[in-house]
Amino acid sequence: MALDPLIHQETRLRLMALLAGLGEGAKAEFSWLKGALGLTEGNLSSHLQKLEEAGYVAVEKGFVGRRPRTWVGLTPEGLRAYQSYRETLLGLLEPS
Amino acid sequence: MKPEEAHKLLNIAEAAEAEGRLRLSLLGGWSLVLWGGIWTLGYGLAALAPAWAGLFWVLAAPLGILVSFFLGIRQGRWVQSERGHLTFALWGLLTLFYLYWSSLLSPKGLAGQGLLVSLVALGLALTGRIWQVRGLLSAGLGLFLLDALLYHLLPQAFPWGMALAGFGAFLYGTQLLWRWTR
Repeated sequence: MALDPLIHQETRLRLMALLAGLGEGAKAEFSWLKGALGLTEGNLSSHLQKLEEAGYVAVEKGFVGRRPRTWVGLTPEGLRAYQSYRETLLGLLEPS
Repeated sequence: MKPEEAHKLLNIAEAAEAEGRLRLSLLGGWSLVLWGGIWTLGYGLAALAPAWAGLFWVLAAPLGILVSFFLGIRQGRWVQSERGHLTFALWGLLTLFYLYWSSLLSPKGLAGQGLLVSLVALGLALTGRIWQVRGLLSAGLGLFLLDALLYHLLPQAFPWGMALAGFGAFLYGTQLLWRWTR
């Protein structure tokens, strides 16, 4: 069983897991994610870009009042990929 | 891949999922610090200086409710989720329920206090269920059990028991807040 190399990177795994844990259709604000994962802005942006290019996360830009905000959520494809990654890991733990 | 590595990655994923849910279910730890502090002081006063406890609750409870809803709304600006909406609706309904019943049962009497505590216990347990945080579900059930035991078996120790439970929540909340805001 092959593990998705995009999710296999530890920071992206934590990011995908955190978003998946919020429930289906949930969206988190960029600065909240940055704080929750303990990442720098540049680091988080670079991981998000890779996940967005793969279609695993959706990034929406908007405003709250006059402040620009960036929202991030797992796409249905991203959620499936994460669940499949977890199932593969669980499969590796089962005695053959 | 070796099973040890798979186990490590699975732990990382589960920890990230659980940490996010715990953080949101407790409003970043603020709800425990706020209500743990209010309960410690309110029930501490009820045990040591009952004459002041009524005044304290009249001022602190509405203020605590307002601050909690403010924190919930503020969190909703950062994270939008169905679970967040359900939690908001749950505590809104419990607040309305309590306001109605507190007008019928004197909140100063043990029955009124017991009802308030059981509502909070129900809220904690359901919040734990909504966010899939087992510890919160257990805390709600534990509080309900403590409430029932003190009410029926040791009514004179009710304020002390609740003050201790509040202090425990305050300490745990402070620890979480420290971890999440550093």
